[in-house]
Amino acid sequence: MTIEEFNTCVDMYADNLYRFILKNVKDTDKAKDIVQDTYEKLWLKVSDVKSTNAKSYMFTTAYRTMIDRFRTDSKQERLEDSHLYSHSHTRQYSDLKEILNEAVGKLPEIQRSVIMLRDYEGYEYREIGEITGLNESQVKIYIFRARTFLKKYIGSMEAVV
Amino acid sequence: MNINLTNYEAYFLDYHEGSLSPALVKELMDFVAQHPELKEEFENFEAVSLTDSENIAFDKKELLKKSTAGINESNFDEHAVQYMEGTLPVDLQNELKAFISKNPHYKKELELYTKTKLVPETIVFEDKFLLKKGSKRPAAYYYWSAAASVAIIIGAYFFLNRNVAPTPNGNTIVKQHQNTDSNTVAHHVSNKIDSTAALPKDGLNNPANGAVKNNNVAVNVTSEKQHRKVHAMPTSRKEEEHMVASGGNKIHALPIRAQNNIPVNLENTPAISFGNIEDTSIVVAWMKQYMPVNTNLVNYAAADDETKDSQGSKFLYLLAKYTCKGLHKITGQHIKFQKKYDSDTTNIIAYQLDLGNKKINFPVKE
Repeated sequence: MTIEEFNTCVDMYADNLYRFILKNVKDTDKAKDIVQDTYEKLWLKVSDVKSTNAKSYMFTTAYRTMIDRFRTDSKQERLEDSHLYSHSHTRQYSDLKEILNEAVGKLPEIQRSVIMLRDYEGYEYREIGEITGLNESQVKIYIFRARTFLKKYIGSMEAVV
Repeated sequence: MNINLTNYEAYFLDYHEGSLSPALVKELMDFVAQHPELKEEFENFEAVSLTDSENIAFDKKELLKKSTAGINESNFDEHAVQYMEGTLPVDLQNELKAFISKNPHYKKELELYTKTKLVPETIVFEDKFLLKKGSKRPAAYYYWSAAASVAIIIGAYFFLNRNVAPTPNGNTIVKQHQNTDSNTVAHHVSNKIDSTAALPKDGLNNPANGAVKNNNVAVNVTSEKQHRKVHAMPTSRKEEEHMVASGGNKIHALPIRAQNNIPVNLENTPAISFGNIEDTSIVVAWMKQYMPVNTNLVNYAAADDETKDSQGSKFLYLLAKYTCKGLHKITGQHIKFQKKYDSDTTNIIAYQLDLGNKKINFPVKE
């Protein structure tokens, strides 16, 4: 990958990568930090990574960096499945997007990641598996669980609204 | 014989499990006969096997089984997710629609699933410039260089562009603080610099010597390395002469004196407009050391007052202004160097370093 291609990767993917990380870590500084780390790691491998693989490489690197940060910080709220349905109805919601955003925030990290990679980035199950280190079946299972949770969450919120 | 003291235990195990051939059984018996000390071990060796006494069973096998009867209540969610994921085969899509038509209350369920599709938000990573690479140097180098340049230029500007006040004899002195009794460089100011000639040993007032101009300056710059040393000022004439006599290779900034060697009455001079460092020789030495490429700036520092007044202000102002512009372009941060005008007279009243949330004004005093 040339310097020009690297800089093109910045223009093309930095926003997507930032959105993916920000939605997970919910902290702009940490998200920016991870994005910068990711591009620095890409820069170190710039001669090895082809521009066609750069996006996948960066999402993989960013995802793993984020997981490492989670483990280091021990601040990420790890929700058990049994907690997923115990959301409160204390807020007022204006639209589906807001409800969905909150629901996504309540997903376990792995489910949130795979569904965002699927919906935001349009990755195939196999590609999501490569990024997250899961096999294709596991990806499908997590997406299924995520959608089921989101559907129940939306349903319960709509009933309230 | 294949059986020996290192492997006999494996043969004991095989014997008790009944997996030895008759030939090996005979061989094993011969081996045990030859080693009576192993006979007890051989007889006590019993194959141990675990028996399944708990009868543990997975009682939800039915949930794992795939229905052969098409879409039903138990597998609706699975098919609904596949439908909205776009991975449900066409025949099953039709089957799903048929199922929903027969069970209308599942229509709402399917609609809810379709709403779980996340819609990408537009979130912009505004610091892309930090990620991009140049072809030569890392970005951090530029930041530090730019920051250092701004500091040097702004500092140089205000040190070298200080207002001057004419003395009765036509010479000029630099405005300075009122503290005149200190014996350090910082409390003695001159604005005339000779960066090429060595100081004479016969004092400061030799008009034929270019190193001293109008009694205002005594700075000797002979090499860049020597610029680093700045010595404390003498408090007496004797000390002063001694320092000058020994100072062919060091920077000496001397007190301001009028032509008759009487110290200038500083109470009547205007206050310095900016800063605490009050010796341009330090700036010159600094610039020569750290800005060796920018000879114009160094030459400017060593220029006479007329040149400075006519060109220096504009030169350094533009330098500071465009450096700030460059820094803004590199970092994306709000940084601007600009003139501030009096609204009535339209005269310049200050130079302002605008950092966005902080504005630093450097007033121009008349």
